[in-house]
Amino acid sequence: MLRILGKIQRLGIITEPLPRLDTPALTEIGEQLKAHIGERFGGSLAIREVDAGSCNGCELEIHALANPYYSIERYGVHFVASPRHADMLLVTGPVSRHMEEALRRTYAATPEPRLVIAVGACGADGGEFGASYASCGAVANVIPVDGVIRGCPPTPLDLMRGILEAIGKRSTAR
Amino acid sequence: MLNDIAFAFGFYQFARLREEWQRVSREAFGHRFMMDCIVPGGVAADLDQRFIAAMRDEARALRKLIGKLMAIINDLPSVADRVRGAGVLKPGQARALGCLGYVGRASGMDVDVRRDAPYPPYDHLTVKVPLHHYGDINARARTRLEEIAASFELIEALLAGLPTGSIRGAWTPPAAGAEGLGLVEGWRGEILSYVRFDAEGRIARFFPRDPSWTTWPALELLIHDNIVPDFPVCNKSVNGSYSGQDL
Repeated sequence: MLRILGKIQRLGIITEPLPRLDTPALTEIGEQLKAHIGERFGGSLAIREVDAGSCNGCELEIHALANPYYSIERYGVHFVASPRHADMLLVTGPVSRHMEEALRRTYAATPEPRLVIAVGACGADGGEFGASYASCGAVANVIPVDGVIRGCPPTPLDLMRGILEAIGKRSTAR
Repeated sequence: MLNDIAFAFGFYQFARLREEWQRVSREAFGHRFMMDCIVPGGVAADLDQRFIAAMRDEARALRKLIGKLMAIINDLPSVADRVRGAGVLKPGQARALGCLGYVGRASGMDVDVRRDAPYPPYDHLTVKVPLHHYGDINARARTRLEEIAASFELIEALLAGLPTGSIRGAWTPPAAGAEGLGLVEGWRGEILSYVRFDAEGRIARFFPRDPSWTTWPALELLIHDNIVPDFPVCNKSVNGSYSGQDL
């Protein structure tokens, strides 16, 4: 236990306060995200991540949002283990035929108003897999989609930007 | 995996190390996962000289840090309680399924294409292949961690002996009806690719066999008699790919 505490103290806080790699800056996107979430979702946006046939590349970057550099929870975004607890679905992969029904059911289990974002090149348009006997292609071919985040895979900042855009669009539409 | 056993300290420590490595990858290769760097006939871009030293230093630093973290984690009974004896894939089951990669190697399957049928650059390197026999979550985690250590050694050896010269050879369109089989060791295990061309030089058939073909059925076996909260941990310790099997 002492070693854990020692390690924690030596490392300190590494969460990024300032931009390092990309523009617009992490904190800038984060603050906007927080403001929108405060206004539209009572300060808390619950996301259910659905892997509908992904290679896990997108999952790795979605997971990275939770690491101490991005620490997306500080802006009110958290990931939940059931669609019944979710405001938003982040769906990755071309939808494989095996996952088609599971995705429809997940969508049906998500309470309204629900937002769906298709993530990655495959989720956006089927990517290199396209549509075939094994693949339905884009997420939009199976369930209604509100936003798309492209990239193979999209970087954590792309993901934050995409989530922000989708919330922003929904805010202005109502 | 550490997240699934609610061991936040370990989860965040490793998450930060991964992010740091990914950032070096992005600078050196233009992609956080080094995707799109290998192209037919060679590689897409040469590695800039300054990154050779940077990556070597990063590899050494990471190796040391991971060693320290492992010493902490191995010391904790609450971690051991979740990963030892849970999600067991017996060596006989692994053999019957022909399990590959770390899932196989944690259950006594001593296979690695880089060592058993070496292709460049592994024909000039010594590839250490960790092997365990218990087949539980702990054995899979241990196998992967030992593989990380072995990979750092390979990275150092590769960086020290990078050849000079052209980075891409000429691409010759395949003859009509040509077919071929490729075998490489990916991080999940052996990846097999078969391709056949038609008379117009277009691809007629292509079949990639990801190691997930063998590891998903293994997951079905190893979750038997495990309690529900252990399922996510079992699942992560196997880490199969949906695309790899379904598409």
